[in-house]
Parts: sequence; C-alpha cells; structure tokens
Amino acid sequence: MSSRVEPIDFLLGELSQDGRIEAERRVREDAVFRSEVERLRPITAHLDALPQEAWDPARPPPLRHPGRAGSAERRPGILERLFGSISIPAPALAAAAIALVIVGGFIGARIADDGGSKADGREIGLAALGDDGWTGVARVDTETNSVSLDVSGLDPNTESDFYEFWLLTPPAKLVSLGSFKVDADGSGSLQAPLPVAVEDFEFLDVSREPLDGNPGHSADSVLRGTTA
Amino acid sequence: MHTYAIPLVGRLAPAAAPRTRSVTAASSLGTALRERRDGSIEAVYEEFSRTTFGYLLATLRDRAAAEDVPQEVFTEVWTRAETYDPGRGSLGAWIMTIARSRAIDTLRKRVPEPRDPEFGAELVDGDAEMEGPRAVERWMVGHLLSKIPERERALLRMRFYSDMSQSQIAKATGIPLGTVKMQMVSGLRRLRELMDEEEQ
Repeated sequence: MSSRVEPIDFLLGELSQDGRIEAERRVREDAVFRSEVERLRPITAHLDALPQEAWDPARPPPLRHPGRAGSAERRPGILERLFGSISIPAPALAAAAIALVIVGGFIGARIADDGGSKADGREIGLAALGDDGWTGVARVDTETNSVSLDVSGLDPNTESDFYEFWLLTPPAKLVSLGSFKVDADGSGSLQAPLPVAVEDFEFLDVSREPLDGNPGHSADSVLRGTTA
Repeated sequence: MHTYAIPLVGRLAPAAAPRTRSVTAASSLGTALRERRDGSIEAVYEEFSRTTFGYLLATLRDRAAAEDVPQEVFTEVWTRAETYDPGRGSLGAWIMTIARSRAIDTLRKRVPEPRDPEFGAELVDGDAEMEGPRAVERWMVGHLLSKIPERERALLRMRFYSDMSQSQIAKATGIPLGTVKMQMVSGLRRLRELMDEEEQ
C-alpha cells in the first residue's frame, strides 16, 4: 500500500481512508515525501482558488502609441495619456511632432525597403495553407532572442486541443517554440524566447494539436510562413 | 483545417529551455523598464497586461471599468519605473500590487449603479481578489500558467477549474492515468520552480 501512495494524490485529496492514513504517516516520517507535499501545497491552494478570468485571460485593451503598427485607431494609448497629463510648451511639442514625422518617414522607408523588416527585428507573415482567411504575423527580435506571434481568424480551441508554434525544415528538423489558445474571436497570441536561430529553418509553422500527451507535431498545420 | 504530412522525429527543444529563458527575459524586462528604454513599456504590457486585465475583471466585475483601469495601471508603471526594486519582489508582483491599488480606488469611487449583466455577482468586503499579498501571489501563479506547456496547463485546468479527478481526466482525454499524474506533477513542479525564480 505504502508504495502506491503518491504526494500528488494526497495533495489532490484523491486517496482512500487507508491511503490518507498512510500518506499522513509518510508526511511525518518521510522527509522526501513531506518536502514534496510542502513545496507543492501552496501551488495547489492557489490553483484551487483561481477564478475563471485567470484560466481564460481575456484580451486586454490595446496599447497604442505613434511608433506602433495600427496606431491610427483613435483610442487614447498609454503614452498618449501619459504625455497628455504633462504640460509641454507648444513650441517644444511642435518640434517633437516634426521630429516624429521625419523619424517616422525614415523608418517607414526602411520598412518598405526591407520588404517588411522592422527596425528592431524581422516581421514574418504567416498564411493559411489553403483558401481559408487565417493569417498570422511573427515578429522576431534578435536583440532579446524572442519571437511574438499574433494570429487571427483561426477556429477557437476547445478544452481538448490547442495551437502550437514551430520552426521547421521538412522532413524532420523541428523545434517547438510554444503553445497557445485561440479565443472565441479567432485571435490568439504568443510570446516566446528563441532557443535557436530562425534562419536555420525554412518555415514558421502553426499546427493544431490534440490534447493526447504526444509532444510531436500533429501534422495538422494551419498557418505557415517562410523565414527567408 | 488542412493536414500536411510531415515526417517527424520529435521536438528538439525541451520545454524546460523556454522556461528558464522566460524568467531571464522578465528580469531584463524589469531592468529595461527601470532605465526607461525604448519599447520597454510595450514589452511589459505585452507580458503582463492579460493577467492584469483578468485580475481587474475578476475584481471589478464590470468590463467597462476594467477596460479603463489597465491604462491607469501601466501609466503608473511607467511613471514610477525607477522605483521598481527587483530586490523587493518580481516585476509581475509589483505590477499586480499597483493594479490592486487602482482597483481599490475604483471600487471606492463607485456609486451604486446598474452593473454589467455579464458580471452578476456583487463584490463584497473580503472578496478573494482583494486579500492583498495572497491575491497577488495567486494571480502570479495564474500568470505563470502561461509559461508551462499547454498539455500540462490543460490538465491542471481540468483538475482545478473544472474540478475533475485525475481518473475522470484520464477517462475524458484517453490519456493513461499514470501519464495524467506524471504531467500534473510536472506542471505543479514547473509552477513551483517559476515561483521560486520570481521570488529570487
């Protein structure tokens, strides 16, 4: 009996009465068992009390500022609100605006010349492999060795599946960058560190993965973009 | 959905690699914010806005109000950036503490009015999300859920949110019970390690 009692069953309260008695004995007498229970108990307590909003985090309002794509939308952004609360002399404001226009034009020209590259990294578009309207954009930041992904139009996930973001070169070179869920509105995002160089792979790929315990690629790709 | 056969040999990057890097990235994020580097507030927002927004939704139970407060929170994060002291706690906990303060301000200003019907429950004194350090720590665990593999997160969700036993999860997913337990423990240990790293 004692060999079958595991800390996880004790922590989750999934033991018979005999099992619970045995687990309590081991908490008293087995330092390794006790240590595991004590380390994990705060985590299980917090998870038990987590509300739905923590398990399914909603998309927050966007952060907008003049240097970011999509900033044309007239929703006051954080920097706008921040600077809006500070009194700035009109001439200084005008000079700053002119400088922004010049710098913005320069950056815009650079982006156009680079075919989508951004000043602080590369932007790679991902498209559906068929006729569906699914799209995605990956932003590779070589300074911080990280990548972010925003997708839209994908089918929302159920409890039994999720999406996974990959670097791959067929037939067998494959690295998982992370996994994410797609909201009811078809959008999803992921930010992940880059453990390898993007250029060493041919494609960025998004697959839909069943919750089956298999860590491999499901071969059900929904989006793909070339790294070249 | 389109299926394309890709012969695979399995993933080359273990899940543990991004975990360590994510904490390192969070640490450097705090440094970048303190020094007010270009793009730092955007990166901080990207990292913590979902958790903050979720906390505000759960606390205020009014979507319109919850959508306004993140701007206040992250404006304060920016204006007080140099006062963030990594020695006193993680960047996430600092931001969540600010969010809690702004949530309290919002609740104090609130006068009785019709509530968003989507959020039917009334907030009462002693609400779980207003408990201070415990609530902040709980929401940091919630934040760190996004750092563990989706498979483990999904199993933990079934157990702790959907209140399913491990046996029920095994039956519902077709995953052997032993694997469910193993992945459940793995997920809990990852969260523990991430919390330890956050608190260092």
